[in-house]
Amino acid sequence: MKLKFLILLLLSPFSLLLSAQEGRLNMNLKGGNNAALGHFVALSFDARHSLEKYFSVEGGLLYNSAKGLVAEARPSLFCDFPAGRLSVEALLHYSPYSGIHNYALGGGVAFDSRYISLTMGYYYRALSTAGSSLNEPFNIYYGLTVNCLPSVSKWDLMVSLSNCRIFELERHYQPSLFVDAWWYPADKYGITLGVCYKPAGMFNLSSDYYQLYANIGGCYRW
Amino acid sequence: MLQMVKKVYYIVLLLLLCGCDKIDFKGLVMATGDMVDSRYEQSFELHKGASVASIAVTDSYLFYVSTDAHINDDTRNIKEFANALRNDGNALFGVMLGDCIDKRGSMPLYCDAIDYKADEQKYPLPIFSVIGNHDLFFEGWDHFRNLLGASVYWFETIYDGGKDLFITLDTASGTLGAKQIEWLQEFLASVRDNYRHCIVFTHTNLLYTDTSQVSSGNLPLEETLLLFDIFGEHNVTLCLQGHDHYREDVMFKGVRYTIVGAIRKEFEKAEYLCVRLSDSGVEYEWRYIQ
Repeated sequence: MKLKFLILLLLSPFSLLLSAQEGRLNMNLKGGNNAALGHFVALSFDARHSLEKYFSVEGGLLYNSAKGLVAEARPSLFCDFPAGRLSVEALLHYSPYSGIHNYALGGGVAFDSRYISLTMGYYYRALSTAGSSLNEPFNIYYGLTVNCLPSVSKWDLMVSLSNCRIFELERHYQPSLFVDAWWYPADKYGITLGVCYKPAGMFNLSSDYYQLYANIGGCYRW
Repeated sequence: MLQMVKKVYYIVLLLLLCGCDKIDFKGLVMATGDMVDSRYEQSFELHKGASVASIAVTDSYLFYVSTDAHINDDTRNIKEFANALRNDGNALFGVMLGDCIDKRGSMPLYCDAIDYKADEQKYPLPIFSVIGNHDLFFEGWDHFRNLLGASVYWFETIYDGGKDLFITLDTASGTLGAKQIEWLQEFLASVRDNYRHCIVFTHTNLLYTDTSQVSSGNLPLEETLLLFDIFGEHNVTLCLQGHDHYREDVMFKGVRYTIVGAIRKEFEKAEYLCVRLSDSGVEYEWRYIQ
């Protein structure tokens, strides 16, 4: 069961590469500090591919020096409107950190417009290790992104508040703040830069520092 | 439209600046006093890393646990808990798992409620307090440290032929912080083998296995997994938690995780827990405030 789940996660985005009509491939390098994990670096590859005019899939793999492997896939059905794109997505997430297998399955809706992107969904998480398992039956994932430079073609600057960025699926009371920048010096090649701040205890009303990292990456789109 | 935005801005600003006497809205976005690493350091300045108590016991004994008193003005429930503990000839100590108070400036009231009262109570048994998120509101750490002491500490019970270890953690900010995690790992690695049972007390619950606590937070997932790993690896017997206000009891990686229900007066079935430790393990008896 665990092996099948992992294979499904790994294959679902990359199996579409051959037939993708348009898409994007990202490579990211992260470095930062985490209260529980200490200093870390992480390397990730993720891709997004659109097929026809209604189906796309996003997913990839991340390796974190302190946390190990994380895999995630999000196939989605979408429909374009004059105001933006409305999507219905499924979420599959897997991480085997600390000898505990962490699986999440979920689904949600997303709306992407020129200025704002909104995502909201529900997921179920299971934590299992030899002889023990725990289930988290109720989790909400959400994201709000504001595009600050939507009218500049080569640049964009985005500010997001979310608990569900790719490879990062937290409990709903544990959002992170992201600031990301994109620069496309050529049509097909781009550079990404970003920082993420994650506090702990926000919904306890006694928040504290938890995590800060920066990332730099390259992007190829077709 | 602009007027409405201005009104919302002023309301948010007002909430962040002052809050009310119960809810410190500043804590949503920033630490309201010393951060957890600083509280850890101040705790170790107080006790220098040594045990805060060594209690002589027999190999089978009782201790009492309550949590989330959320004291405003009424201390009846926590006094009943203290009376029950100190009139039980088999009990050795009590533990309050945090959120001792609910209102700005109520810490002296809580301390008075748990103080030994010779006219009502037979035995002068100690009650150890764990810090909770509500105890931190309105820069509450200063009150907690001055009136109750450290937020991270350990103590032991000693019986003929063995010892039990009790560790109190500071999870009031939703994280243990880097320093406390490092200490916990090193401490358990160096001393755990000297003890029969190891009991860990935290305020913030690690578990999220039901919908009883949708709106308030606990630890980040990866920190939770790390603690599961540390506790499992070092054979922690039992982890007692509060915060959720609803009872929960599960085993994971060989460790028993129990969330104790709240003792706050607003609860119809305010409860506390009597724990018996012996060679055969851990036994529970749940009791309710009358």
